[in-house]
Amino acid sequence: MDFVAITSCPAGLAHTPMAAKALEKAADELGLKAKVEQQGSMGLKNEITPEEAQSAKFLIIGSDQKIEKMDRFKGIPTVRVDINTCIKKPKAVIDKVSKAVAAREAAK
Amino acid sequence: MTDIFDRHYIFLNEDFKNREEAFAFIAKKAVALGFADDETAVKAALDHREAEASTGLQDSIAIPHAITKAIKQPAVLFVRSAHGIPGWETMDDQAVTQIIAMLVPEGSSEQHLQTLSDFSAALIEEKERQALAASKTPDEVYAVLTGQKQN
Repeated sequence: MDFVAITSCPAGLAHTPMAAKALEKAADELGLKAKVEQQGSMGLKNEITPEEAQSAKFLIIGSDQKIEKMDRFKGIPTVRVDINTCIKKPKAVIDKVSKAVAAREAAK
Repeated sequence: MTDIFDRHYIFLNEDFKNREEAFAFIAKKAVALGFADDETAVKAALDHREAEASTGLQDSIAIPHAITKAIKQPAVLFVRSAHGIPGWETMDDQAVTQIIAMLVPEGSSEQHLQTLSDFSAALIEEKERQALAASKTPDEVYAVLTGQKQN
């Protein structure tokens, strides 16, 4: 798994699925294996398993909301981004987070 | 799908000076079409969501939504404004002219929520947004938003 992501918005109805679809599509186009969970009006959709979470290189949280079940991602580099940026520039988000995480790892 | 969105819920000949006017129109139609029983509550719910973060997207599209007890039946209204609506923040600074308004009862079924989700998710496709902008009749708008292919 290259990365996992979670999207969530105030109503959990419109922006959550949009951002999820945008990130999935971008990952596909970039040739990356990813799973995007939606925490929205229907609860957790496409839920990331603890195994998937731990196999990911990083976690993108496209939200300013409180995220449920964060304990799955213990030890996984996590970056929060604006959900609108995920919708508008999903490829740039993935690229930027990927580089930031790599830089963070290199600095260790 | 048909009970949530219909050609009769499409309004292409409006012109709003600001978001207030647009939301007042949507709230009025929500009651007139029998989806809600309280215009003021619908408008307040639209305002409430907008106050959290703008629902303006790209290519002049906005997706305001209201979740309130005053709404009895889930529905999607499509409203087009002849002129861009000033003061409605969008992701690409293009003024809103295409409004996809979602009316959501509290405690909606998962099936209805999924249908509403699909409406917005489809707008990720640039082709979809362009087709929406190019659509001129209620039939065309309906076909684009419901994913039906036009021949």
